[in-house]
Amino acid sequence: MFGIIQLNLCKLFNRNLRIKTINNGHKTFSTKPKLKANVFKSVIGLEIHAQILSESKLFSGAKNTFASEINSCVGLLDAGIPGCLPVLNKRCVEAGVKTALALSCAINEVSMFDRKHYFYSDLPSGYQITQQRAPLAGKGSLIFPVITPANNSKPYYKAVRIHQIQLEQDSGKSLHDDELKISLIDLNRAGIPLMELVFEPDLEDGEEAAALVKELILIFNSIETCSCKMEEGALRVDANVSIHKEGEPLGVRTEIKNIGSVRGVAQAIAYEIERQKIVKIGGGVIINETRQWDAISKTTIPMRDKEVVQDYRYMPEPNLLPLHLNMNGNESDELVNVKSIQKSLPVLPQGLRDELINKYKLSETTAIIIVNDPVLHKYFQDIINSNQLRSPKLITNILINELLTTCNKNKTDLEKCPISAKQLGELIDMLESHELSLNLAKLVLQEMFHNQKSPQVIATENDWKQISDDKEIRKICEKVLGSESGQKMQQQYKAGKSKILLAIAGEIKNKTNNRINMAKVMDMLKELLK
Amino acid sequence: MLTRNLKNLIQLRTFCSSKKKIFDWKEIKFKTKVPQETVKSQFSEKTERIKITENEIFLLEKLSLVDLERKEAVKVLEDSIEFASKIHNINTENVEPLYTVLENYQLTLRDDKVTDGNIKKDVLRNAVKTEEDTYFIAPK
Repeated sequence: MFGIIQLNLCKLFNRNLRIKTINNGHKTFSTKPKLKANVFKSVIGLEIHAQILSESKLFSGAKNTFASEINSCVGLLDAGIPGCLPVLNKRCVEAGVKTALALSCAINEVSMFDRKHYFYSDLPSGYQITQQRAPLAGKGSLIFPVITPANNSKPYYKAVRIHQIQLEQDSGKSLHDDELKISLIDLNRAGIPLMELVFEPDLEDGEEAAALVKELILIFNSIETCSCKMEEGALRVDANVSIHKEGEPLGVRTEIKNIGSVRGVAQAIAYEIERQKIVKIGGGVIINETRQWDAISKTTIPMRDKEVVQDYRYMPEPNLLPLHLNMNGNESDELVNVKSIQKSLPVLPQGLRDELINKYKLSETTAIIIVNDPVLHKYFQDIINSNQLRSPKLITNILINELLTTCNKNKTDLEKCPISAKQLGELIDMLESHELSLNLAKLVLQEMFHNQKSPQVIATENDWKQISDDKEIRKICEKVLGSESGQKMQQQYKAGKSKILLAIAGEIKNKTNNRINMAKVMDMLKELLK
Repeated sequence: MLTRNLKNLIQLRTFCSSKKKIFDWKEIKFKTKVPQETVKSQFSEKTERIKITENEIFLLEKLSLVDLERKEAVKVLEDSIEFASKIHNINTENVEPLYTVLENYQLTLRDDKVTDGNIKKDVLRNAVKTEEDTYFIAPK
């Protein structure tokens, strides 16, 4: 019953959305658009749960794993058996501190754990151990680039403040069998360490939120504190969305839970903003509710779980003492040493972009694209490091345009691209020395996709090498000019029809199967026809 | 299972408060610092007795999975609230909250090693219902 109503509502929203876009399309023709949707400002805040990369769980010695045999990675503590005590995993504290430092958060020398109570069958103890009063880290900030894949608008930088970072336990997993009306519980995930990153509502749309998640993934990958496998639930995004008119107080927010992909973040938020606009324009009221993003129908659907205000009955966790950190850098005690973690931090994505811009003189957009894909960045580093004389611009051009196109053509992810950095480097050398034209380089790239031969070998074997030798070019030009049609064209040229030069060049191009250095041909023709 | 235990607990508390002694306190064999007689309240100010509405009871039952159907149970609850409310009369201005008397001690950390798990049989043993010894089946 409810399902049907929801479905109809969704359809209605979809239809309204379509109507809205049509109306917006008409906007240019009328001075007063019917839907003043653009007067609304949207405000977005994210809460991100990131599973910490560790061997064992946060408070128990059971294995931290994905897709193991059901209920096999569960300690008695994880199953909520009375009498078990939690013992905190040092690596998780280090990972939390490392993440907090990467996001320039203020680290709390002493933090504490709390119990958050609620009853759900995948939470056997009836409470989650988290950090509410005194979290591991507080106020921080992150500046990240926003580059929208769809439109080619100029990328810009956005700043977001971090409210706090806390350590907490993940819950188990429930599988609902609708037919038998039972819930099956697997506790393998129960107790897996999580960092919850709470961001201030500083974002304005879905694209900014997606860009923030993307940047976080890059940071996590470089500091290796989270696997970021969103498809495995290792990184889960909740988005708080509200809209209001300029000059008015913030609107009532809805929370979209557990969005499982970067694109999903952008789409879910964009959908929710539009939905709220339609509700408000129609005179409706936004209610504070939890909604779920359905990636298939591309809509948000209300979840019927928070009808009454939840009271989590927080209380200090009596089984855990305050967590102290070593802030002064002395190596004397067993505490987690914040200073030495700070020293071990790798270059973060922004540092990598700065390097590309300052050292290699690449454009901001290029730098963002290269750093956004660790595989591309690795290629770039390998190619430039093995020969610093190679042109960074040419390298990035080949990587972004040609390599990605070749991968797409062969329906292969860049991660699985069989072409080595060494092969690409040699290809770039051949382009720089005019041994190869860009068109033929594309053929060589395609060939390298299937065999590991060097581009030199491939080009020679297929007779794809560019003709750049001046003597040979002169010979070919003379031959074409000497032919019957060539002579006709020569006469036309000399009669003042200068454009005919391109036709002659075209003929030469065809004669040599597109292998000749066209810049040199043009110079040669001009010289010969003087 | 859990609900049943909590019900028992409530019943037990109701018994205690109705002074049907089910424990023989004299049986304690060792010296104890726990007062053997009920300590009279040392708060002079009176606290107002709070009445709980039916809606509040419903919410509490839902949050705590405790059945408050019995009238005595509600009385115990109201008594507890009255007892705890007295704390509001204490002046706590400029006093830092104390969460544990062991505040100056440091939490001991464990190395990140797998030392537990692979005890599926033990873990599932307490469950009322399981699915072919793989999943727990949640109570309805």
